[in-house]
Amino acid sequence: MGMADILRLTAVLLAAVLLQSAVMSQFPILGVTADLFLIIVVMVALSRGSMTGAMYGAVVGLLADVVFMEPLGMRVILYVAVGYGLGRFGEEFHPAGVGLLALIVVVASIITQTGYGLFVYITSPEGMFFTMLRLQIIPEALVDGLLAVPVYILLVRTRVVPGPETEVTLFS
Amino acid sequence: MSRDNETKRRFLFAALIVASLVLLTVFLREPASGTLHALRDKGAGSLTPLQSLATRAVKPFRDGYQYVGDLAGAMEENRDLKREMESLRGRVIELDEAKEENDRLKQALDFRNADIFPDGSRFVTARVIGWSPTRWQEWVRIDRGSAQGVKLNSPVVGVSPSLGDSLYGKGLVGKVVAVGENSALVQLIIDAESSVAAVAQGTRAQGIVEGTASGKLVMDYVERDQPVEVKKVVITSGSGQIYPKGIPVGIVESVGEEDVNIYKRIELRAFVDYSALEEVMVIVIESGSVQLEEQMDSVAPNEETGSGSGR
Repeated sequence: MGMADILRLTAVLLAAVLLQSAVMSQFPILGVTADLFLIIVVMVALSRGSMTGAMYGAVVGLLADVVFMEPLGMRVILYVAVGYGLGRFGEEFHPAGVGLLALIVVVASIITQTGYGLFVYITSPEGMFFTMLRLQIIPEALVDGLLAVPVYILLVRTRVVPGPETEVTLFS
Repeated sequence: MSRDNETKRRFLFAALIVASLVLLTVFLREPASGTLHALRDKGAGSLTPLQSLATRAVKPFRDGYQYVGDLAGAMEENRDLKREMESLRGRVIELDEAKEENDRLKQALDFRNADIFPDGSRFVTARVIGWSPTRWQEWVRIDRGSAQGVKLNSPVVGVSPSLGDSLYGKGLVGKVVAVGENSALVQLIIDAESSVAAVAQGTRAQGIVEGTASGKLVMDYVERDQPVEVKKVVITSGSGQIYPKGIPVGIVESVGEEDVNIYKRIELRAFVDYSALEEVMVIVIESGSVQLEEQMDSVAPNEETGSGSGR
């Protein structure tokens, strides 16, 4: 990975911090806020592999913990796992097509939020996991999946992730 | 992929997971005044000017967005409200009478004017500049912090001057759970970890108002033999360490009983629309206040001490 790539990834991360902290939280959809950090970790991991995915997940997770005012390290664990896991998936199967990527984001979002939910379940006095499945986890997974489409197109245009070799299709 | 490369990847993954677990453990074990908490708060605080600016810039879009969302439920709500208004008109007349009587009695007893808030209370008006990212927690970030006198555990109430003398929009919002120099985090009372000692007007039934995962307010620990009527106002009882007595919390929406529960299940409708909070008022209670000390003497254990300092 060259210096230009590192600069691009840094720029994307800074843009995500600005958008997530200043704009996204003001426009909830289905009662939830999309997780832009997760979406960029998924995109970068799928296109650049497990090593970059895990490291990028660590950096993004740390910033997300600061922006979301959460215990430092919590989102780091989740995003490192997502970055590494999807990086391996990308290396093996080379998924392409906007629809498939959006579907992967939905699954990643459900896994991440379930992990987050388990943490809350362990540390909170109230067990509210199943209520949250309906109110938070599934709606946010859908919103993340929807937002993944424009984010992917933007990342391809700015050459942060490589574009498809052929014309963009819904499912490759 | 070479074997060396594979080993390197696995090692890196394991190292990052271990490092983040260590970071998380240290963070959770250190006090709220610890180094990692301070670093996180400073980092988040550095975003305050940006969030403040963005909140103002996108306000017209946010209002428009909210307007469209509200339109959907407006017709049905309008019908219900008209019906409710009719019944409330009658109640207003009754209450006016009661208020006059109450005022007279208060004067007779030489009550202080601001009897809700302890002597020496200061009010800091703040703008909401951020919302919790998930519904696992319910908090808002405000643009006032220690530099403006905001303190940890300060109660926060709503501000809606456009609604005149109505209680709507002016109820209890929550308490400050983290303070930065120019920003603070307010845990809303609809947060599942929030608890507020409260009393229902009329029968004076005492209980604890708690948030739920679904965002509703529930008044718990009210004995089944205690009568509680629908549409009665619930106010803070002042028997905790944090909220002064008399702040409106909500209106009793339903009262239920279950065979397996020794307490009633009372659902409240809050006076504040927490999804549309724009401005709030932080009540800074100076230490040494007579009323506060009186309240501290009657502290009930496990009330109003919901966690949050760690956030």
